[in-house]
Amino acid sequence: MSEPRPRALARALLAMYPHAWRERYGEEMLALLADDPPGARGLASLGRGALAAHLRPHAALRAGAQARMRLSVGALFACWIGISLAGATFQKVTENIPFDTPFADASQGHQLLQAGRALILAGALLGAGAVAAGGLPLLWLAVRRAMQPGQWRLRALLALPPMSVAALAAVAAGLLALAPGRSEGFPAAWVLGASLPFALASAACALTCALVPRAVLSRLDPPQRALRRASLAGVALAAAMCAVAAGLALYPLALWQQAPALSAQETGPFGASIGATLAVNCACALAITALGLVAAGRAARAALVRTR
Amino acid sequence: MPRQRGDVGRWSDPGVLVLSSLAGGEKHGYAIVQDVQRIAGVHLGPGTLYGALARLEEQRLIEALPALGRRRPYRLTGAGARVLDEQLRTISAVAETGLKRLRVQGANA
Repeated sequence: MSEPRPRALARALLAMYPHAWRERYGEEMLALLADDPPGARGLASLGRGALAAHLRPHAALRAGAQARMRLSVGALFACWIGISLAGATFQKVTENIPFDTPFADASQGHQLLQAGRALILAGALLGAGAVAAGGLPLLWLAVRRAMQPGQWRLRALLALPPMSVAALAAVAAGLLALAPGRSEGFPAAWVLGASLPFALASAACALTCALVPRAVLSRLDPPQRALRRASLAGVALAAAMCAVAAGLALYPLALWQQAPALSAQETGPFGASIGATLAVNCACALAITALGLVAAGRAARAALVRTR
Repeated sequence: MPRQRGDVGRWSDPGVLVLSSLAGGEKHGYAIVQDVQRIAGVHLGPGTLYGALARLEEQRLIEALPALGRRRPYRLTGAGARVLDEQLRTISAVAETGLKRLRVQGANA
């Protein structure tokens, strides 16, 4: 007779434990959950346990330095994609439409607004440099490996990000082709209707670009030297994220103080004010930056341990 | 800060409860939960139990035995027995002193 299966929620919480933990204790915990089905307290205990296992991994269950670098570099890149999305949202919300330049006008003579934008730009440039320094050698390795016979899965993985970007561009082009005349700006109802498919396509593209590098790295198992370079470039990438997040935090504050009417203008998504939209965008960027800092710290520690 | 070997926490800490349970013989997860419920009236949640088991195993106070199906029994090591003995003596001394003081206070009241 087969053993009873634990509840789906308990299994989902168990899946949140680190991989190494599940490898070691997963089967036993499943048996315990089948013997002693957890109530609300038991489920809370599982959630707390999963969090603790991530925050304080036990020495015997820690991945090796190479695996830690690989996982952290993948996580860092995913964070950078998240920050890029926040930067793109900022750019879209504060862009100047033809014949109307409210944000450029607001920036005239307001040093904090200019400083916020400059910080975002500096962070973007630094981040692009760090991604190039750490990521391009890994990409080159991946492309060379994908060219070898029998590597069709790696080839498919490498093709996914450009395909998702092309799909996003196609959605944007399709929406523009369907758009009514732009001479007096797009009608509000059309903008609202077009926002959802564009947002979904952007999210799918960002998710693909964020997750594929991690999958490629796990298949590639790159040499330690390349991983160490990427891990150390990750420190610069984390600094870039901090700069972008600081700029994204400074700008709405300065806008609220120096151009309150523009900040209160309800032209954000779903009728939200520009100030509220920028504040939510900034909160997301800060959370992603915090995760990026943790990943960069782990990657750098693993890289330095091997260097000593 | 990582815990030092032998530092298994307060008397009600899951680590002490698990060690006390394993002092009675090797047990798997569910058997430990039932035993702790019986001896201390505490129901250990799955996350709490396995957090304690992992910590005690890392400190080499317990060891895992070969799995029996999906269930893996654990047993106390020599070091675990010494640490538990030390902890229980401390708890016992505190309990004895506390009870003595309560009796004196009751007599004076």
